[in-house]
Amino acid sequence: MENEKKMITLKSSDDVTFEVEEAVVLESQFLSHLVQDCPAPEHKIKEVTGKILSKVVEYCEKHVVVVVDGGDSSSSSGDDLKKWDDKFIKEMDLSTVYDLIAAANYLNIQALLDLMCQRVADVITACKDHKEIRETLGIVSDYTAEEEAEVLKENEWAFD
Amino acid sequence: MNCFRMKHELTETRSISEFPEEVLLKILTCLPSKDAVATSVLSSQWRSLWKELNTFRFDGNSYSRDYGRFLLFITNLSNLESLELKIDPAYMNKQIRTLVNLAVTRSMRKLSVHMICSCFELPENLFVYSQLVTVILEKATLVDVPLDARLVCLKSLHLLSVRFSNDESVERLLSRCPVLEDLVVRRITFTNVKVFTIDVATLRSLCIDNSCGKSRPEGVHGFVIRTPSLRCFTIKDRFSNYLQFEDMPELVKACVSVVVSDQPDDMFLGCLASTQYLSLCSLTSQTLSGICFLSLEHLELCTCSSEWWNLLNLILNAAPMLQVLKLKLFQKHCVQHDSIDSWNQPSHVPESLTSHLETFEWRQYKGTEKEREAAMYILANASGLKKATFYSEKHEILKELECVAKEVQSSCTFVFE
Repeated sequence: MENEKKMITLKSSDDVTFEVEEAVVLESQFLSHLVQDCPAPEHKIKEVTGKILSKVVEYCEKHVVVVVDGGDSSSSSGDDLKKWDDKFIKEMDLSTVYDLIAAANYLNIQALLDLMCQRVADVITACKDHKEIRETLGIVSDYTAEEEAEVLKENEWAFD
Repeated sequence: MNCFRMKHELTETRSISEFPEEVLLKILTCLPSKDAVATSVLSSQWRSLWKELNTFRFDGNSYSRDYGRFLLFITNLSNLESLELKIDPAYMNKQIRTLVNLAVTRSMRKLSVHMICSCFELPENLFVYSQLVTVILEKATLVDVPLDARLVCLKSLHLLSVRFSNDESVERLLSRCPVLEDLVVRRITFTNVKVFTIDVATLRSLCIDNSCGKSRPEGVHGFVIRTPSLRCFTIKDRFSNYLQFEDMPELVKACVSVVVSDQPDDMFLGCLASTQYLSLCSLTSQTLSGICFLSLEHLELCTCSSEWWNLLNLILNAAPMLQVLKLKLFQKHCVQHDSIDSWNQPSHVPESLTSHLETFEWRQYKGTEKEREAAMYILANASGLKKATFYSEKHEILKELECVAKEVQSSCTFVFE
């Protein structure tokens, strides 16, 4: 049939394959260029594992814009999409969030990157002090005691 | 972006510290400014990161006592482009003026003010001298804009539960926005505005939400919409008894959910005729004589009105390019009638069914005799159909439909859920 949707196969670093519609691939700036420049039936994405790529594909399939030209956030399905996003990130562990940030950044999928950054911000807000933030996010402080005291003093109002 | 290190084996865990600066800044942008600044103590990598920010947020719910210090902090910043404030006006009606003055004198691009409770007035200079591109106001009261007001840069305006003095105040504000492209209006039931007139020639996207609240105000109330450049239109309205639209020849996407009915001049469907995508929930029983939906490819129709079959029939006859048809109940308030009480087999088969329809979906299918007849009619006549999906609460209804459906349609994929 002439109107058959074009399908594209994506292969992860660990050789898991995903068959997706072309419209799904277009959610990623990186992949749309790749698909345009090199019309192979299969594209290997060496930088993303199967586990993460499956999440990326799930997200993009949900977010494919119905009408390419007129789509915006004010569509009637906006609320549903937000609910879906909330469910998507709920209970996702931080290492998956980090991997998705890396993948979204590499594949250039802005909306997914924004969503994941918001998730990290929510984690930071939920911490009671900077020690807890360091512990949760796995940040090692390289400050000396004096330097730390200096920073605390510099922006005193932020630490009340 | 490409310099980002991606060479991780499965066993290795990623650390936040290796993300590029623009990703870390994105995270900081999502935080209230106080928390963003506080990240400076995490490690030397974070020490000056927040200084790259140009968007600052204040959340009065959690940090109300610090407002004075936040103000001082903001005043001393050099790179202030955008402010997002969630504030309690009870004790800072005067201080909000300081911030707005700041927005004006520092040529800020974006100002978002969400009042936790109602009532405060924006100072005049916001409308006369500001360079703001985006203004988002929530639960605010607007005094009439001055006669010399001109929001020359304003492209995006959100008026969420904003109170005006009267109908003219709305018109006057919008007439002072010569480049406005994006407007969002959320109405509250208690308001002095009866008819909300949106007469903006440059507008490309309009979103109206008039579905909050319980009771309807007295008298004539609703919207007049004159937006000839509109491409994307969403209206969810449970209260208006007056809607007047004018032609939208550039329209691409329309999502219309309204209750207004039997008003003599509600020929609004004709104004949406250019759209490619239409999502419609309406009690309208108007005839569509002379209207053609020549570009319509995707139709979603709510089945809450007793007239929906007639409406569908009219649109099918007027939309030769239709590819996707979905029938469903849109919202909780939409109650389905027990049956289609007006199903009549059309005198001739619409062109849209025979030529382009590829996808047909019916949610909340109840399986009454007339619904089944309607479903069979569509299936039997849609010769290019590729996929048909039916959703029903009752399994046996779907079973029964499945048997007969496959007899009339052999070439498409069926899904019954």
